[in-house]
Amino acid sequence: MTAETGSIYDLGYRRYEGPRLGRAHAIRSLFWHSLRSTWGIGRGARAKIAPIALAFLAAFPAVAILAAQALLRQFPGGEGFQRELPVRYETYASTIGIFVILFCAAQAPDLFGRDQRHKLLALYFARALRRTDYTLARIAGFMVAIFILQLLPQVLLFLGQVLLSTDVGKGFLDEAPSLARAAVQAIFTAGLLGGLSMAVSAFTPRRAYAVAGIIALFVIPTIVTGIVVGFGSEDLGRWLILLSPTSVLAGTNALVFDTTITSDGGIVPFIPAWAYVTAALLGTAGSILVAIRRFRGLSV
Amino acid sequence: MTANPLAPTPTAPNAAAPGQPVPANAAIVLERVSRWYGNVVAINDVSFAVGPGVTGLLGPNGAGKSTLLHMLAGLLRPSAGRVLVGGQPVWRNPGIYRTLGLVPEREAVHDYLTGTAFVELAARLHRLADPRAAAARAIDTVDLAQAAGRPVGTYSKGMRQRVKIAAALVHDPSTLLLDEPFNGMDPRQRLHMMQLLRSMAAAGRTILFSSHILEEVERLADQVLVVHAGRLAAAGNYRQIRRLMTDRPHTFRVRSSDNRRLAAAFLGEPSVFGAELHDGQLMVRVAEYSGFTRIVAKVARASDVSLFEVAPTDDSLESVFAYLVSRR
Amino acid sequence: MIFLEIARVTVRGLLGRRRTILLVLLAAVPVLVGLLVHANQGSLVAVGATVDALVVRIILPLVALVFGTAALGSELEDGLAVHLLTKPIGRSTIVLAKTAVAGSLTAALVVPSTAITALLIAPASAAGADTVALAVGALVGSYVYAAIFVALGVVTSRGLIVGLGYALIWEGLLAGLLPGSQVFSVREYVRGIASVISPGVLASVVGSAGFLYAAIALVAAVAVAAYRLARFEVRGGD
Repeated sequence: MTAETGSIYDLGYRRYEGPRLGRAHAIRSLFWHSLRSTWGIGRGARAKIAPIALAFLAAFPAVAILAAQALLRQFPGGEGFQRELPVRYETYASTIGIFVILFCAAQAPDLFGRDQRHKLLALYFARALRRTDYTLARIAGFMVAIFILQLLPQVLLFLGQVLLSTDVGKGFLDEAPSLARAAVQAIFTAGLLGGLSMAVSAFTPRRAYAVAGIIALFVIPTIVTGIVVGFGSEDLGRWLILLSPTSVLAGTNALVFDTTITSDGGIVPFIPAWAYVTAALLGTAGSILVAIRRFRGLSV
Repeated sequence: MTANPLAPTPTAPNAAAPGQPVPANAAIVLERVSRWYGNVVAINDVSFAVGPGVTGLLGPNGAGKSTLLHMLAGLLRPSAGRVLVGGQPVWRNPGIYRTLGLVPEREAVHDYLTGTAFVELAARLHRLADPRAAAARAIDTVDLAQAAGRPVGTYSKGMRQRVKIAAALVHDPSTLLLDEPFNGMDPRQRLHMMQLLRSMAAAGRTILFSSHILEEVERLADQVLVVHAGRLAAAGNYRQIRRLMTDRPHTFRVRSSDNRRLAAAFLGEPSVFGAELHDGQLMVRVAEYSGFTRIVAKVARASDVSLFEVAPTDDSLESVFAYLVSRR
Repeated sequence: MIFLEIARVTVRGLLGRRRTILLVLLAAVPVLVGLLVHANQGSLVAVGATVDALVVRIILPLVALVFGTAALGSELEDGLAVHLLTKPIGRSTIVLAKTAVAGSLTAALVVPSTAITALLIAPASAAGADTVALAVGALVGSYVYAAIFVALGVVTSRGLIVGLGYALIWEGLLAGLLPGSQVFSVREYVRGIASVISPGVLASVVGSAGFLYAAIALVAAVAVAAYRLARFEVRGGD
């Protein structure tokens, strides 16, 4: 049946002649992909459980307080409750702090970890994407996800308060500044906690270590500095506070909402406000740089 | 789906079709086994019996080979039906592993152990009387003696496969299951492994291995089990299976002194569907294998043509497989 | 003995270089704090409260979590456990060996850390009793936490996050809001055990019942793990 000669048959293979979207598009796509997969969108049902559950827990105080307010208005003396709400914008960040930390520990390891575990980095870097682009796009996606986590409940709170007020326009104007401040605090949170989580995640493909590392990084310094500061307000002890991410964020929160830090847990309000902001910015920038260096030197 | 095309085949004692009495020496028996995940049916009402010798489990990727092997190895529970090895159920029966060995497909082996340490660990976990000697023997059998002192983390893919096989044979099991065992092996290693498996089978063991590479199965297996989309498409010796594929004509290649005259003579026979002439060869399509073999000499002599070569062309596992897989 | 074989290979697997160093560093944090307190002679820091805040609440569960999930759960996920499961070994033997190793390694790190920290912080008069109390509490806590996290690793592939959620949300947040839930909190058992050996070192709700609850939790965790391991299904492939 076969002759001694050979031939090549044209199966219709064509080169791709269409537009190539280039580096910017790749960065944008990776950013959106990171943001979506942090929230479990585009992944299986099991991947949605942790983020949705934690988002629900983060929003719960807001919903609960709105429900309580709506209810108690019916009764005389309700105004007293209105004035001293247990859940407010300025305390909301610390109320849900543990959930934000858990969210970071649950979702950050997968973003860098899965690519390393399944050896996908070579695929990413063989595209128009540079190594730095990859790192920044992923981190940015995660930070925006944290921003949403932190701010969304407070948006709910805002909407609820506006709708609860008798004069919607006035209510809007009253509440809007608080929401704006909450947004600024959310930016600090997203930057610092998001950046640090991703920096830890960049270094290991194994989830267990990344998770433990993130938890250790966020929870332990707070406890340690709390103990150390309890000795008295000597200089070293004071400045050690800046080594604890959660304390730094408490500081920026106080600055943003123009309150003084209450010294529960031994936090001492003698450090100038700009120190907190600087620490937050340094922490954010530092973690991003560490992650960039990590991926630049990684051989795939 | 159409009924199973196999009629009882007394010449295939080791791979029985459903409905046939189970041979007494069958080491592995599946009875109406199904496995589903929610709405997805991975294995659909499969029954077969496998006895001593080498049997190949053949199927395209996604057909359910790994699922079947995991169920045979007691690592997955059948949603329906029974899996028996040596007459005993395998699910939740750790004792079965005294006579059963599994070579899993996944590469995971303790990277920090040396080859010898890994096989010795397996031997000790089997409570063997002399684990060191058994391990040394197993390592020799797979030809890994030189590299046995190095950590498994430094092994190539083929070496990892061999160390896994050594660990699976160290307790001399009477039934051995291998999931895609020749993955990553170079031709020499593969040949060596095939010889090993054949010699084990000749000593009376039951070997079942899965593959999607037809040449491997063709060379090694006495019997095949063809799975496709979770169903058992065929079981038995593949040449016999081919003969039973009656709704597809057989093709023979004939070379003779006068192909054209022979072709004309063949077309006069009722059992011949067609004849083609190509570059000095005559391809004849016939309805039935043995019928043609009976008439070919007669027709040639009647036409006064000398025959140089008569050979069946599509009696390969590939054509059998393609046929079975495309029938759906 | 099969038990020892499994234990030996598990220990070698758990003590990878990087992991060990990081966990040792983690366990060293309380000691550093202890040194700082010791250097600061004038300050009065309650030894019980300090060790509780540092070790019992975060470092003990974290170390147990890393060792516990790595001992069995991660092996089940990456296919390494198949080599163990296809041997004629009872599933409870496997679970016992893994739990014993995870608990012992946790204790090996956390108990000395606790003891040294307590000795550094406690005033000389009560040093001995308090140290022993806290060390024993940490010892029991190591095994109970390890057993729970080993079981979680078998029951769910998300064992890590569930374990964290348990340690931080259940034991942390809920215990403050719903005092009754402390009966189900290992942290409470540790406090209870310590407060029995050296009364006053830690405040505790469960008191001497801590011993009983800890024993129940340990047995229950091992039983659940063995039950689920016997029915563990290897999926995927093909």
